[in-house]
Amino acid sequence: MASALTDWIPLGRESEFVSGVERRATSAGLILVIRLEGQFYAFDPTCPHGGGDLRRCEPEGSTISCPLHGWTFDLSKRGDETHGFRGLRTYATRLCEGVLFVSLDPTVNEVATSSLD
Amino acid sequence: MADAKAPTYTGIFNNVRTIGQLLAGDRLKWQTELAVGAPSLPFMLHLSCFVHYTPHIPLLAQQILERIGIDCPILGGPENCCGAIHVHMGDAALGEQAARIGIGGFRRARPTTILSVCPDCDEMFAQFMPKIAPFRHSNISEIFVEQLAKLESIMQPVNRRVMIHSHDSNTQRQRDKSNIETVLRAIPGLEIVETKHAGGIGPHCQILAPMPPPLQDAMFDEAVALGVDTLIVPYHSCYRQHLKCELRWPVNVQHYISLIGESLGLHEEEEYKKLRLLDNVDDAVEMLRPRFEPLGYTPEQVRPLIEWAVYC
Repeated sequence: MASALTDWIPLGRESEFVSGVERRATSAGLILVIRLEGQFYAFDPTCPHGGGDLRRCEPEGSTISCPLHGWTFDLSKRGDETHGFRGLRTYATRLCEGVLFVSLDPTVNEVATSSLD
Repeated sequence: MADAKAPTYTGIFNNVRTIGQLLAGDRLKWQTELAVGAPSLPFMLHLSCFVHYTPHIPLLAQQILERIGIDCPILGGPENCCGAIHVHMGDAALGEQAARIGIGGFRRARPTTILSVCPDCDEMFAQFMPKIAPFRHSNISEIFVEQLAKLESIMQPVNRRVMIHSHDSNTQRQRDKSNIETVLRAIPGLEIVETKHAGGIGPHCQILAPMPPPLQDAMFDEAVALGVDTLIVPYHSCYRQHLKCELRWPVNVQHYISLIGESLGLHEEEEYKKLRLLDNVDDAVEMLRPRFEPLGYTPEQVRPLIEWAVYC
């Protein structure tokens, strides 16, 4: 069940997230946002293995990989590490009237689909 | 499984993981990280990334150390990359970060000594080791020399006439060269011939400074002229570059750790060499089929990995 919009933090207009990895400040600290396969994903900025900077992640399909040691996180599966290592913390995203929102509540489970396609 | 041909870190690390898994199976056991507060481990063998292609080397290294009373668990894999891959790809800052993370990972084991088989790891970790080193990081050839009396007491004859390929581009490599020659000279029956053309360029072959074909030809021609039956190489990268020459010259190519192992009655199959000496990628895929199919890989997924890792 979707939570009230007041629980969602606006990150910016969806057009700001067309390509690459964007960084945004929230009350929980920095988060990164990427658009993969038409969907927006928000996640922690550092790899849970060695603290690699995921702004330099290598995306492929719905996954991103840390450039330091190749840990690979499936963002369509809430950040599960594909080799069985620790997962990446991800955040639910939502599009509303062209604005991308993020929820820092770990119980919220939404992923925004881009309307840019 | 990533596209093995793509020059990405993801592709490189996944190639290492997958080929390593297919070649070593469950034989090679290593830890990727140690928990804070885990029991202290005096010795650990660092398994560098590309050594996954040649698992017989760390397997034999571990067994040799066991024979001389050194229990040496293995820590490694891409999770403990020294950062040389990043430096090779032009990312010096990422390389430094990876090296420092690797050193931090070792520290958690509170080891006395971390042993290495890789020249790149030696140089990266040495470059970024804290001024007051929390542990000794050493190429494994150092330990073999330090423990030579124990090794000599259990070595059996290996009746071969060999040539030693070496690198002497810096003091670390010169030390390895001297150590390797010292330990090989201790093997009864092993005849080491003097050569003019067995020196490599750079710190090691294959990746950064592959031995140019004319020099490689000269080395193997000299080996044949001198009646050498085995070319001994110091590093896994040299092994990967030169073993394919077995197809053209009647000279066996072996890593020096294999020779030490042989003198102790130890043997591990050289799976990478078997794949390469098939000299046919399709045949190599077929050879690995019984291993990759149970893991859910398809021939189409495995073929580019073999092309990249073995037939490069």
